[in-house]
Amino acid sequence: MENQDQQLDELFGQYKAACPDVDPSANFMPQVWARIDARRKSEQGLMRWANSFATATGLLVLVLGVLLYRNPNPLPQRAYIEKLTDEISEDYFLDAAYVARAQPASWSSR
Amino acid sequence: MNADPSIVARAQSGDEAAFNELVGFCRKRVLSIVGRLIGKPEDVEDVAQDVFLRLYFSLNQLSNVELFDRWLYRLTVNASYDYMRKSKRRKESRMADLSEAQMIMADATAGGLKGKSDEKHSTQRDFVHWLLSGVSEEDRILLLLKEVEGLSIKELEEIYGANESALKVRLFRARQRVLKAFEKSKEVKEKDGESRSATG
Repeated sequence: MENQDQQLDELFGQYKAACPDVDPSANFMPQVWARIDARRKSEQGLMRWANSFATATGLLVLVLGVLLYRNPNPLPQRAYIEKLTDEISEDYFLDAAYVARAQPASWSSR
Repeated sequence: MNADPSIVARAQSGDEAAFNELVGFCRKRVLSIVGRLIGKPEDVEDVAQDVFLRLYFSLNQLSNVELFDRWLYRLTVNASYDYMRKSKRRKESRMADLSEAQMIMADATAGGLKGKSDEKHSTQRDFVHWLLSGVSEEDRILLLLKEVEGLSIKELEEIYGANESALKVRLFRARQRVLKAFEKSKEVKEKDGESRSATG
């Protein structure tokens, strides 16, 4: 095992020597700047979008605030089901006018 | 590496000429480290550019310019790690797929090969990458930084922000795995040698 450890160390040493030194190409720096510019642009686009979104959200909040101020109680106090139950109550069905309106035409001809 | 702190400070304040100077000073070293970490010469420049891109956008987070070298090392490691994760080299090679080139390398480690220098180097690189394919990308980088780059545990601590014992345990386990693969390659080579002599 110790021998193998030593061989592995030698192998790592050989690996270091076997990796060629890559010289940077002539357009290494221009390419770095091109990538920086591309990222800057995409970040600016994202910022612009975020700003527009924030402005639109602010405006919406303002409009809703004005509407709420002008009509402070826009929603019914009672729940929809409660209101419906009131309207279609037993009394309402027994109302003569309602029955007359609701009865089929054949009944009235009799 | 030891970049001039005044240049780093100027680059931090947005001086593009200083950033150019900084890249010019560090790029050769970054290219070498990336080359040894990823082992694919054709992609080295691309990964090195990514390192400098990260450097440009993170330079203002560096609180102490004296720590620039460690900072750059960390960026280099992260960019190499991201590259390795993307390329998923590990899937390409498995223990069962020990190629002829790796067999030759096994011979070479035993002290036998006399071939063309470039070919030999390429084979050595492939063989080491094959050995390292049995460990995770993180451990592979850690092992290469320690064994090939020659960084000390203290330096690794600064780069990784991890404690000494955790790093030592990780390094030990990774090395053991590599040693096992090394042993296995030798066994395969021996078997192959026997079968060749039997057929020959």
